[in-house]
Amino acid sequence: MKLYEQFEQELRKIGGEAQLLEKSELLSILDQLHHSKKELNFSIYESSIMKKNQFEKLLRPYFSNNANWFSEKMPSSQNQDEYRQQLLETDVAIISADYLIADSGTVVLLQSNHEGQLLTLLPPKLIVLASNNSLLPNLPAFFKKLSTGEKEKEDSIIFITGPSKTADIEKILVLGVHGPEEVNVLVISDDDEER
Amino acid sequence: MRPKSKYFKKDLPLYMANEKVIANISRATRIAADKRRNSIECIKNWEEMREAGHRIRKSVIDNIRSNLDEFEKNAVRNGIIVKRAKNALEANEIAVEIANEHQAKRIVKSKSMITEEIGYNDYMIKRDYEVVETDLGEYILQLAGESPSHLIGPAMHKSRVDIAELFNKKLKIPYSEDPQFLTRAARNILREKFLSADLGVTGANFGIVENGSIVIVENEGNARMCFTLPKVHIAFIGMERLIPKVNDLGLFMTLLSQSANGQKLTSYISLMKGPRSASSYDGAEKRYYIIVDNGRSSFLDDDYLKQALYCIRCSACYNVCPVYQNIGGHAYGWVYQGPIGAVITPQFLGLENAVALPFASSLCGSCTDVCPVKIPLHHLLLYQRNRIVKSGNTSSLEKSSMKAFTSIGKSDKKFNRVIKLGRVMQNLIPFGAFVRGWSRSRELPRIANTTFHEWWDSVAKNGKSPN
Repeated sequence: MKLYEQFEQELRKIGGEAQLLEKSELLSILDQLHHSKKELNFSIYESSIMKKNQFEKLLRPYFSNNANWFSEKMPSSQNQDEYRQQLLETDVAIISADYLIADSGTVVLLQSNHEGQLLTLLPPKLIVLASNNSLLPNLPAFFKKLSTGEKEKEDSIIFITGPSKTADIEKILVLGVHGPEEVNVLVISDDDEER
Repeated sequence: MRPKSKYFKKDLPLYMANEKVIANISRATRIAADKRRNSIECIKNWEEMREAGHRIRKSVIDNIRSNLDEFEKNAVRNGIIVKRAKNALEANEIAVEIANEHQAKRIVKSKSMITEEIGYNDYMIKRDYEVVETDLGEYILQLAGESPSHLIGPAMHKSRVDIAELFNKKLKIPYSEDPQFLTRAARNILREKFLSADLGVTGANFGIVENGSIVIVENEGNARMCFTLPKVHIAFIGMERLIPKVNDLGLFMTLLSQSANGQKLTSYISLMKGPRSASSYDGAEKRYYIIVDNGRSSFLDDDYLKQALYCIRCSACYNVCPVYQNIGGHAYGWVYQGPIGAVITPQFLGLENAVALPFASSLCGSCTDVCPVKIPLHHLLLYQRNRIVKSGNTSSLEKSSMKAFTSIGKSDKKFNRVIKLGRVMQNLIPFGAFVRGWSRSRELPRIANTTFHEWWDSVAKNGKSPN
C-alpha cells in the first residue's frame, strides 16, 4: 500500500501518528491508545463522511453512553454554552476525514459552513478515522476530485497537517499551542482487501 | 505604528549596537533559510511552480479591479458583509462601527500584517476596546510593548531568557526558560480570551475570486479560534491578495508553506465561505471582509513596480538577505522589512520618507532567487534607487559629486588632469576624511604612480616603461 506508507511516514515526520487496520480491529486499537490513561472524556463528531463509511456503527457499541455525540446539524434544544463546556472537558475527539493526502500527511475535512470545527481544535488529542479509499497522492489529485464533485464545490475546507505547533521561541518546536498536541490517524481498510 | 524609515541611516548604528538581539536574529534567519533550502531541494518541479505562481499572480494583478468586483460579488452571495477601505483611517473607522454595532469589548486577533500597517490595535485600544494578540510571537510582543521584527517569527529578536523574564514579570508565573512551559502558560491565558471574546479579527492569506472565499494559513490554530469562537469575525484583506480559482490554491498553499517555513504544508489551512448556518454548532454568526487599499493601487500605475504586489508575504527574502540577517527587522522602521520592505516602503510612505532603504543592499540577488512568485526583487531595488535619484531626494553632496564626476568623466583631458593632481594631493590631504561613509570600513584606493594609459603611451613611443 504505497500511498498509506507514504502518508504514515510524512505524518510521523511532523509529530503525528498513523495506523493501518481492519474494521474489526478498530475498538481494540482505540482501547490500546488509551489503555494506560484513566477515565477519559470522548467526543465524537458524526459527520456525513463518518456515516458514509459506517464508522459510527463501529463506535456506537463502545461509546454509546460514555461519549458526547455531535451530529452535523445542531439540535434546536442545544445550549451553546453547554456544548462548549462539553468540548472543553473533552480529552479525546474522534472525527472522520473526507480525504487524506499522502505526500504531506494531511487530513482534509470538507464542511458546509463550520460544522465540527471546534471539535478538531479544542480537545488536546485528536483521532481521525479514514477509509483507505480516501487516500490521495497529492494536493493536485485532491483539487481534481473537488472540481468533479457537485456538493463538494459548496464546502468550506480545512487541511490539518499534524499537531498544532510553533517555533516562535528561539525556533524551538513546541506542539499543542492552541490546537491538539496529538493527532492519530486510523486508516481503515475494508475487511476483504489485502493489507 | 509610526513609520521611522526616514531615520534609517541615523538609527542603524543603535540597532546594530544591540549585539545580543542581532545574534538572535542572525541565528534564527539562518535556521529558517536552511530549513527552506533543505525542504525545497526535494521538490523536483519547484522552478515550474515559481513560474506558475508568477504567471497567476500577474494575471490577477493585471485585472485587479474586475477581480475585486467579482470576489466581492461572490463573497456577498455567501452571506459575507464586504466593505472597501481606501486608507487606514477608513479601515479603522469601519472596524469601530462593526465593534459598536455588536457591542464588542474584547477582541482577539491573529497575526495580520495589514492590521499592523493600518495601526488597528492602537486605534481600538485608544477607544477603550481590549485587543488581544493570540499568535504566540505577537502575544509576546504585546506583553513587551514592542513591534514585530519579522513576518513569520515576529519575536525572533528575543531569546528564551528574554521571554522567561517577560512572562515571569508580566504574567506572574514562575520563572522558566522551557519553551514548552512558556507556551502552555500562553495557551491557558489565551484560551480564556478566545472563549470570552466578542469579536475575532484575522487577515487573509488569499481571497479566491471565483467563489468569494478566503484562505488562512497557520501553524498554531489561533486564527481558527479567532474566526470560529467569537460571534463576529472580521477579516482584513489587502486588495492585492487574490488568486483566481480554487484549483490554484494547491500551488499557493505549497509555495507559501515551503517558502515561509520549509514545511510541506502548515498545520492548519482553512478555506472559508460564509458565516455559520443556523444549524451549525460552530462558527461566527456574522462575517465581514474589509478590503484595504491604503496605497496599493498606486503601484498599479507603474508596470514594473506593480510586480511587488505579487508578494504572498512568505518572508523567504528576509531570511536570505545578508542585510536583514545583520540588522534585523526594526531597523527598516515600518511593518514591511527585508528586501520586499525596502522595495515597497518608499512607495507606501513616499520616496522622501524611505530614501535609504533601497540603497541598503549589495544587490546580491538572493531575494530574487528565493521569491516563490519570482518578483525581481533586487532589480526593483535598483529601480527604486533610480526613482529616488530622479525625484531629487538624494543629498546635495551626492548631487554635486555626481555632477562633477559626469563633467570630469566626459572629458579625457579633464580626467587626466584630475588624476595627475590627485596623485600629488593624496599625499597631502586625507581624502578619506571627506568620505567617512566609505573609508570607515574600507581603504580608499590610491592613485597609481603610473596609470595604465601613461605606461602604454610610453611603451608605444619609447619602447619602454616610463620611469
